[in-house]
This record gives sequence, structure tokens and C-alpha cells, in this order.
Amino acid sequence: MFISAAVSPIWKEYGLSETQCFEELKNCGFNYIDYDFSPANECEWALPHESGWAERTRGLFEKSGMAPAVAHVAGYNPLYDEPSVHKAVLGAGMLGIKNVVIPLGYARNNTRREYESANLSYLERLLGTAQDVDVTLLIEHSGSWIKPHYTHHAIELNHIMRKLGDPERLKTNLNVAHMGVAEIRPYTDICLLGKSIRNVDLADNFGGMPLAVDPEREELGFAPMMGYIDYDRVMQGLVDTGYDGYFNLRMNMPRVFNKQSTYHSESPLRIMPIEFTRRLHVWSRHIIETMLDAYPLA
Amino acid sequence: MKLSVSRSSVWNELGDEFDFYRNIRACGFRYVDYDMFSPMRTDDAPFLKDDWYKTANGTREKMEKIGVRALIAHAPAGEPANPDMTEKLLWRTQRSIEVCAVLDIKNLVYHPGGLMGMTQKDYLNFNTSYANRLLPTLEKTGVTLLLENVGRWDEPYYCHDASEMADLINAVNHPLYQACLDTGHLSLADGNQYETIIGLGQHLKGLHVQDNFGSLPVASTTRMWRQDLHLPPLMGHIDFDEVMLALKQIGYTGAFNLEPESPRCGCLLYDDNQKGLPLRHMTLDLALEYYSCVHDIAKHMLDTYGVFEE
Repeated sequence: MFISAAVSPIWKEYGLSETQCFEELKNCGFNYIDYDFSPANECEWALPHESGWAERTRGLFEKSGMAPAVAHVAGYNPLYDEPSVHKAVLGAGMLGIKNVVIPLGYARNNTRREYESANLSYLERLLGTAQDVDVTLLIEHSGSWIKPHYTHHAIELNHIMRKLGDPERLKTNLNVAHMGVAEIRPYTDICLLGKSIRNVDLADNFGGMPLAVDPEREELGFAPMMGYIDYDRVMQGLVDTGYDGYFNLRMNMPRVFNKQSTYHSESPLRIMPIEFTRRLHVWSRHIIETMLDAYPLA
Repeated sequence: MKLSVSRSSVWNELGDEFDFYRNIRACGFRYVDYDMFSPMRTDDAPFLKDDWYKTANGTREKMEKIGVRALIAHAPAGEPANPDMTEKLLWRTQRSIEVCAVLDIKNLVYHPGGLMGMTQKDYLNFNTSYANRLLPTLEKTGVTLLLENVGRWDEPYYCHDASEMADLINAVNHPLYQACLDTGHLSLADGNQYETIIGLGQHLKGLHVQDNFGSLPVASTTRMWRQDLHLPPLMGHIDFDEVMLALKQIGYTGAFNLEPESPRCGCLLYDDNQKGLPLRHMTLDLALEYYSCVHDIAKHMLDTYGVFEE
């Protein structure tokens, strides 16, 4: 089984170059990477506007010995910035990444019907782009209940795929942390998604907040098994559905930038020394290995 | 400051009492917070039997052999203000003070009593009287009893901040009755770490260092387990620079005592049928790796402020 890791915002806070981030993850024992197409990356890990971008990035993969497992297009709301998502899918195709996790769009106060209609049109267009570059699009459980998404459950994701005629190029990403925030029973949802799951994102949290509290307190990005997600049920579900794809760590703990505190930029404890981030990544990899030992997959 | 760790919140993974000491020693800790919180909940607890003195001496010898020493202790759990519990808990707390003396522990931390509907005046009167009844045992043993800040802003525990804690400490007015600050509880009560520590000043003799993301705007009884997370320091939102600066300023010399909770142990989302499942708790290897890292993070905090003591 393959274990990959995302270049999460933790690493970026240390001001590392893309090559250095890859090397850090390699040194933490990961051989596969989750490539990030997000607005935060537009400086160095730019969307492919420049000529030679794809060749250079492929060279970085080769040099660091890290193979791309999956890509995430995060941080965009396609209802307002659809071209960026198309551009990212094209970029993933140029890098030879076969599975790309894409966002679904939402508007403030949109109804379920409006949400569905807008996303079906957007997905139809994006499937055309995906077809052109031989990429499979992965949709996932989206948002906490304070955001007006209507894809909290597998049944809703399945509904969207069915409405589009269950295209070969539209599958699902099992974002375990999102399921945690929505407080979904993981086993049932995994069984409902079944063979459509092409990638599993791992992180942990303490569930959804009862009111519109700061969303940062929901999707905490803790290491798997550090929060309240029921990983026994997650793994049993994956065993029972015959999952055989990547396990992708998307850890963001410990916080390197404490936004809610009164820390000053010169406060020495504001940023966790990189040594501990490295150790916690190695520890997280060991956790994933333990999970896979406990629940061997086919 | 000497770095210690509490056993009261670290369950399961590191084993029973003496296995815990061996394992936590392997993670780098030389000092512990002696736990009598849960182990003295029942009448048949070893320290409540006639041969308790022998048991305590045996414990001391075993701890010495393992190479760990307790600097601070947790008093038995319970609600002192509950009339059905008051006398029993008083007796258990007296015994825990005597155990501290045998184990050469100078500071014992306890939770004050509070019941819904209690006024601040009732609270102060009850807790002053309760503490006064413990003074003879404290004087006999030389152990200091530390009042811990507990409860959120909406609970009837009127010791949320330095000023409320000082009210009770001043009412008892005895050198063997002082304060322990729980950084996580203070965060849940929306308190300011720096001001509270400065306010407590020389009364501050103990710490429970733990992190969380603040309080939730709901009744504490419904989701308390999601708030009082007992994360290791620097993993939540508490500003530990403020904590360290204030501790330095008041010249705090007590233990820097961590109170991290075992990941997942407080979660109420699971049912009892899951107790035996392989991922319900971390394996020993994972736990050792985790608590070694927690030790080194805390040591880094103390080193950064030049206050780490072997």
C-alpha cells in the first residue's frame, strides 16, 4: 500500500522552496507526494502559466525521488473562479498526475437545487478538460454544516455522479477529516462510495462545532488517531470495499502560526521549530503503517 | 524549572502505575505528578487501607529504583460540596496529604467544591471551611495544598482568575494553602494567562500545563469533553510566550508540570464495544514516540526562556 503526504501549510511557513519541501517529506519516509494547486502556491508552485513549468516540476519530482500520487485543487470556489480549476486540471495532466481532487462550488445561502444545478454544469465542463488531459476528477465530502454545501454525505456525492451518468472520469476522494467535521458515521459512507474511492486523505479533528465558531477550530489537521475520528470504522470500511489506492497524509499540526492568540511576531514560541514538525510527520507515518498493519488491505 | 508530567490524564498506552514510570522515563521525563485523582475514588483503594503506610513506602522505593521522582500530586477526585461526598472526600484528601509526606511530595493539587446555584459568598464560605479542616494535616506533614482553577465562566466555581483565587487563598490565609494554575482551564474560562500568573505571584506553586482551542459557546455540560482537550503545549491556541514570560517575571520555581491527555481517551463518540478494537488507542511504540516528542517540545519551551533545570 502506498503512503503519500501533502506539502501542507506547515512547511510553507518555514519559507522552504518547493525542492526543500519535497526533500523534507522524503526524509520523513514518504515516497509519494500530494501535489498542491492552491492560491497559496501561486508564487513558486505556480499554475502552469510559464513555459517550462511542467518540465521543471517533473525534474523536481525526479531529483527528490518523490512520485506524485494525487493532486489537490484547493482554496478556489469554482462558482467564482472556475478558470483556475480548469488550469490546475490541465497542469495535473502535464505532470502526469492521474487523480485530481477538485472543489465543489457554493454560494452564500444557495438552496440545495441551486447548489446542485451550478455544480452539475461546472462538472460537465471540467470533465471535458479532464478528458483532454487523461485525468480523473475526484469529488469529496465538502464543508462543515455551517457552509451551504449539500455534499456532506456519500449519498449526495453518489447522487451527483449519477446525475452526470456515472462518468469514468468522475470518482471520489475519501476526505476522512471532512467526514469528522460533519460527524458522519464513516463505515456506512465508505460502503456507499465503494469502488468510486480513488484516494484517501488522512487527518484528524474533534468534530464539528455546535455554532458558527471559527472554522479553524474544526478542520484542525491533527495526525490520524489524535482526534476523535473512528479510524477502526474507517479502515474496516476500506477493507470491506476492497480499497487499494493511496493513503495520503494531510497534516497541519501543530499550528505554526497561532492566528487566534496574541502572539507577537517576535514571540519565540509562536512557531514550532522545524525539528518537531519533522518528528511529528515521521510519527504520523508510523501511525498510518500501524493502521495498515491492523487492517491489511488486499 | 523541572519538567514533570501528570499520569492522571495519560491512560492506557503507557501501562499501569510502575510501567507508566518506566515508560515515561524512557521518553525523557525524570519527574512526575503523582496521581491520586482516580486511584482513590473507591473505598478499597490501597492507600485507604490500614497498611497504607507500607504501601506508600513500597511505592517510594519502586519509584526511586525506576529513577523518577514526584514533585507534585493530584488529590482524590470528587465534588467536596456534594453533601453526600464531603466527609468521605475530606478523609481521602487527608490521607493523600499523608501519602505525599511519605513520598516526599511538597505540593498537592485539589479541586475546590462548587454546586449549581451556589452564590460566590456561599462558595467562598464552604471552601474556606473545607480548607481549614485540612490545615491540621498540612501542618503535621509540611505539605502545601494547592487550589486549582477549575470551571468555565458559566459554572459555579468562583476561582476562574487570579483575583477569585486570591479571595479564597486570602480567606484561608495560611502559608500551606497556595495556588496551582491550569493553563487549559484558564483558556476555557477566557482568562488571560499573563495577567493571571502575575496576579497570583508568589502564591503560584504548581502548574498544569495543557493546551486547547478555547471555550465553546454552549453549555459546558454538553460538550465539555470537546473543550478541555488536554493537548500538549503549543498544539492549541494558548499563547505560551505569555505564560513563560510571566513565570519568569514572578520567579516561579515550581515544576513545569505537563498534563497532556492520551489522544482519544476523552472521546465520547465511541461505544464500549469498541474498546478491544486495534485503533481505539495508540500502541506502546507510537505512544513512546509521541511522549518523547512532547517532552522535547516542553524542554524547548523551557530552554528558550533559559529556565530548564535538570
